[in-house]
Amino acid sequence: MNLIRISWKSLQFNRLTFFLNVLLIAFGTGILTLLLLGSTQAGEKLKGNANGIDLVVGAKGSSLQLILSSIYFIDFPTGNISLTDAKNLAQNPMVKRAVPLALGDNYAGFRIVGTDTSYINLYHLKLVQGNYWKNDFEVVIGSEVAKIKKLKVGDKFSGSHGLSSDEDVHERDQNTITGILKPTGTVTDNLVLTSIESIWKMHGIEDGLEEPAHQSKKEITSLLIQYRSRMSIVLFPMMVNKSTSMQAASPAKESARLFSLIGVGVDTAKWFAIIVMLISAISIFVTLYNSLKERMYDLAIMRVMGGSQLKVFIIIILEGIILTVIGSVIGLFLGHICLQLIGHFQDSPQARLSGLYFMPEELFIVLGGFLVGVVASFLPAIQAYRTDISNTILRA
Amino acid sequence: MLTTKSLSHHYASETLSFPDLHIRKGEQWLVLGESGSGKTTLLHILTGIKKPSSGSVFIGETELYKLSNSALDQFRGRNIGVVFQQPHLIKSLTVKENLFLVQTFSAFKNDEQRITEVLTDLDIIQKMNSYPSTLSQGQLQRASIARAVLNKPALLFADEPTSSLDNKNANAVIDLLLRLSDADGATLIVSTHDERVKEAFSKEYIL
Repeated sequence: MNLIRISWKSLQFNRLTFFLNVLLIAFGTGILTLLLLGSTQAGEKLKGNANGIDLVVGAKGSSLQLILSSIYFIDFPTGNISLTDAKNLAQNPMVKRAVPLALGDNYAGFRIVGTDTSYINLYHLKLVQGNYWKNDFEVVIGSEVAKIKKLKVGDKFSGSHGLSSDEDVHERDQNTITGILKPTGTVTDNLVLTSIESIWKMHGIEDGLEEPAHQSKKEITSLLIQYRSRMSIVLFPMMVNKSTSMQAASPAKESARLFSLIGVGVDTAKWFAIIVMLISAISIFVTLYNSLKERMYDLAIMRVMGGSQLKVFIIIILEGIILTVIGSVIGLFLGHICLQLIGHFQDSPQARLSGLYFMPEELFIVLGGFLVGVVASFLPAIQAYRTDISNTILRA
Repeated sequence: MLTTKSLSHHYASETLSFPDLHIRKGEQWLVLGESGSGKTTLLHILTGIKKPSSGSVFIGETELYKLSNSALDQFRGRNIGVVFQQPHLIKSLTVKENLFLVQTFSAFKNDEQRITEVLTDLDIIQKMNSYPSTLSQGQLQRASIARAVLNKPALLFADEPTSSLDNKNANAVIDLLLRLSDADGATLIVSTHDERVKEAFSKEYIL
């Protein structure tokens, strides 16, 4: 019989109260866990996917929409830009690398992206199987696409028009998988990559017409730009926005704006969780304090049996700690499970959150629960410590 | 064994003074007195749960109230057994766990064999794994006596152990306390205003 068992048995004696207090703590820590994991993963995805991209140039419209559609493949593109204009821009001396993107189709929700080898280099992509595309309608798929759709090299599939539906299927032109990419933890895991020519042909724009008249009809969705020098940060976007019909958007700026928008919601939810934790602490305090009235004689008897003031103090503190640590651990599990469910039901696989993501900071949540337990049980424990044995027994 | 010197205790409205006691090992004493005479106060002082306003209590060579709080708690757990008027057991623990608690608090090893032995002796072994709420009043009282004698204390105190019992049960409880005190060689001190138990004791102290 040790002090932990005495505290545990005491908590077990009032199971409903025990359950409700654990539930409150679990609810609070669950929300905190969800926010911690969700916001961290979202932040990492925003940062990781935009790594190495200084600017996105696309059709005029919402700059945030341009970033979301061209880097994260979440939103719809703002429109198309002329291939000629894009090529002219790519040849600007301030540009080190320009990666063209052509969007418009999807396969089972996974976006089909027309691009060239510069995209492969930008994300340092490697193949785990097969080869990169060489001919029209040859594709390389991301690791998640292969895993979820159970695809392998040599398989064929038809893409659908649009970015997230599978209603308007391009039955005529089937894509052949020539390679599967190694997982990178970035958006590329959820993409189908092919040549821009394949995208054009899929949409009835014939290749082989290299004359300027036909060149001008060709369009792409956007350009991902890498500067040659940091000096271009101010000048280049200004030049694009003022002297062309295109729009330049900075991923760093838009991601920060997006995160500040999300941050308002995250902060609100965080405060909600903290309030829930405070309510839990008050509830535990009230529970222990009220139970002390009934248990004063128990505690006095323990003292008569030789239990020291310190041991009685520890028994009450342990009750608070057991409640909150159990609640916190359950809350952690709930947070992970909820995040996994959220990820499962997310429309966009590119921004999918995972519950199987663990952070050392989660230990602070358990530590926080531990501290809440100590604080909530401190006053009742002090009262137990000060129990006057003789008077308590006389009053019984 | 038990010696007191110039014991007195001040309450707001009165001061209780107690004559000096010299009780030898194994003796069985009855402390008699009307309600309010100070029997319970004296018992609480002798068991180390109420510090007197003045005077001293010696158990063997140990002066009780010179000990630190934690040393006094441990001394009480190891050397003193107390049966109260209400046989209060910890509700959240079984009878066996209540007895384990005595061993835990007095820093003895948990000894299930000793518990079985005492509960068998008191004829409540069948209730060893039961919670107090399922025990009858008589069983509760025997369990509380088991708790008091478990560590084979040198001193066994009982405060009004028969006041709420009929004649038959009152005699049974007193016989039990006397027998257990004889068996372990413990000094027994029973405080009561119940005249029915007078005959069972050869030594009495009237307040």
